[in-house]
Amino acid sequence: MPAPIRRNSLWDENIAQAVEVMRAHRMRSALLIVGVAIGIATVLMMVTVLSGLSKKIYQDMASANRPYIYAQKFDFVVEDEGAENLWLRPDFTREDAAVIASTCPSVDASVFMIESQGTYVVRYGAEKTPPTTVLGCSYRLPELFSLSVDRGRFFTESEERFRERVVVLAAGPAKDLFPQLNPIGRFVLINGAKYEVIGTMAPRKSIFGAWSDNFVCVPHPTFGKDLHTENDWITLGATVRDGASLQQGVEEVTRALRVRRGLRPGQPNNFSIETSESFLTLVKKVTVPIGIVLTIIASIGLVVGGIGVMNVMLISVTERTREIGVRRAIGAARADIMRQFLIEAATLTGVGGVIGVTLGTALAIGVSKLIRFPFVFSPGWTVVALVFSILVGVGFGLYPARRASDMDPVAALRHE
Amino acid sequence: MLIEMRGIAKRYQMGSHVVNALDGVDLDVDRNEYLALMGPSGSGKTTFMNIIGCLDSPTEGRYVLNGEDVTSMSDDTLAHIRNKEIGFVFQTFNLLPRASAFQNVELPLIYAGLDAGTRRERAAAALEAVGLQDRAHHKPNELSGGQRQRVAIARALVNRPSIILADEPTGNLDSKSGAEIMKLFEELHARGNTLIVVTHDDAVAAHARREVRLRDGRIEVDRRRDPIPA
Ligand SMILES: Nc1ncnc2c1ncn2[C@@H]1O[C@H](COP(=O)(O)OP(=O)(O)O)[C@@H](O)[C@H]1O
Ligand SMILES: [Mg+2]
Repeated sequence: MPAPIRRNSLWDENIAQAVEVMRAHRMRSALLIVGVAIGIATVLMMVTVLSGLSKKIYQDMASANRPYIYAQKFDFVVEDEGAENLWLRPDFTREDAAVIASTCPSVDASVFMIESQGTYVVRYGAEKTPPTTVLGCSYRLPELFSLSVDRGRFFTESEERFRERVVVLAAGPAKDLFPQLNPIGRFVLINGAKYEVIGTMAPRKSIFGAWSDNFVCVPHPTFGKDLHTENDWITLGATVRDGASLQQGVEEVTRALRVRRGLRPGQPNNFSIETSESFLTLVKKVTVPIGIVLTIIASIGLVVGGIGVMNVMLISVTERTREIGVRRAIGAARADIMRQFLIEAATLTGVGGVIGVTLGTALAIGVSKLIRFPFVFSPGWTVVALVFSILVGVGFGLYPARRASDMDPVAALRHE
Repeated sequence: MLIEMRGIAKRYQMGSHVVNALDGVDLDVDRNEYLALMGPSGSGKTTFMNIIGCLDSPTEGRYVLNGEDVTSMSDDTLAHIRNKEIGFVFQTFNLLPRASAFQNVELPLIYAGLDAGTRRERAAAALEAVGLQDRAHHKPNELSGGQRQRVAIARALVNRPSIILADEPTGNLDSKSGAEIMKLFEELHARGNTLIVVTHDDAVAAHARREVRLRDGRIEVDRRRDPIPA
């Protein structure tokens, strides 16, 4: 007699049965589907948001600014904490900036910056800003961060030297305080003192969105006179001349600072130097741990969802022992039974996957709106999420399906 | 010869002793026979049916069905034979509860790999043969016991099997529905089908042309006889 042929029409019957079983056990199926959907949605949302985010950070940093050097008290990531008492590190001074400008041939603009540790509410008449960062800086700041002044002007070297109370508003405060009026020449209140508005800046279109436009700039000597507190965050920035390399700039600035601080050869730097390119490296660095965390979340979801599927399918197999016996009696081979239960498991998790993908995409759109950066739809991840959800069903459905197909048909038919 | 069995035994090891569900049975069945398999409870009737139907394999003996030795066949080939050659009818009907009468009858055709058009035709014809063409879309719980058993018979018939095996088909039915089922079996026999019916009801057995009695896994009586006048 011929070996049995594989039969395509079984798929239709199996899927129809799977849907029937889901309908018959609404609660049980719904719980499982919701579980899988939540898992898939969470992971897909995070992947979508984070891949959009890192892509945007990368683009912003790579294109918006010219490369720059940035010196700060501590490293972003403190790698070997025991080596020195970090809190004894000296702060940068304005003389540091001046020395860098005069002794480093590759450096173009050298900028001293004090960022207020706290925030201030800036007022104009009845209008006021939300708590805002005040940045005391040198007149060449716009070159460093590629800021563009859209009304009025930035402050000058002489305004800096004479500690004038002038202020340049970034786009956020400019809009908050002067929704209608032309701000130039008007006086605003910062920490009780009057400052003349001499310019405003264009919105930065950065990933940091509203946050990155929420600051005001004053000359750093003015800041020192009016606003300085002990914990302000002091940094130095520098751009390099056309034709000079960023690396050369870094070497010169490092040398200048070491000389100023009297460090002997072999002694480590007691400051941190970064470049705009090392931010990129940092972004790349953080995507790896984020990827690991996502993988862990996904794996936990997989195990939880998988155990759920296995449980539901084991119950289903036991409840339908007789049905299995009947199907075997009318001609189902073991493989047919196996496939039937695998399709059922995959249908359950697959439905969960479809709902999860829809939900995850919706959430990603929502979150992107909320933190104001563009939503990047990723067809690749969507397909991966769907395939993954089906594979969870097949993988964890394997054991129950095997149990069903290995049943002795005679015993199954005797089963009460 | 349709069925040739020699020395068929089925033994179960139960701890220290052996249960001989079947203990050396010989049986020959021709095409278009109508055989009643009788015997007290526990005598081995169901075990015998399952072996005849290729659902169970004997511990000893040789079984030739349609000229082919079944005892050495693979699991998949046996599934194929059950699908093509055997139609099972059970005491408890054993319909799939979530499928309609039509879908239940169609199921063996799906396992046979027939296309949708052929399946529809054949399933409709089988339902008509048992007089249930107007109940095709009812679920089992919307049918009476007698109707459910008729659906089960349609399912057994639909693949035109060589043998219909019925294990106490009227055991769960009232006497009127039981009589209808027996009438249906008469018709099937008249149309050339081979029937083996397990029963311990003499009235049911009286329809058959041959009576085989089991006791303790052995054949006690095997005799041909005239059917009761219809
Ligand atoms: N799986 C099994 N394990 C042990 N004994 C069994 C098994 N199946 C059937 N038997 C025994 O085989 C004998 C015949 O059973 P069965 O064929 O069901 O009889 P009948 O259908 O005539 O009532 C009984 O004694 C029964 O207990
Ligand atoms: Mg029995």
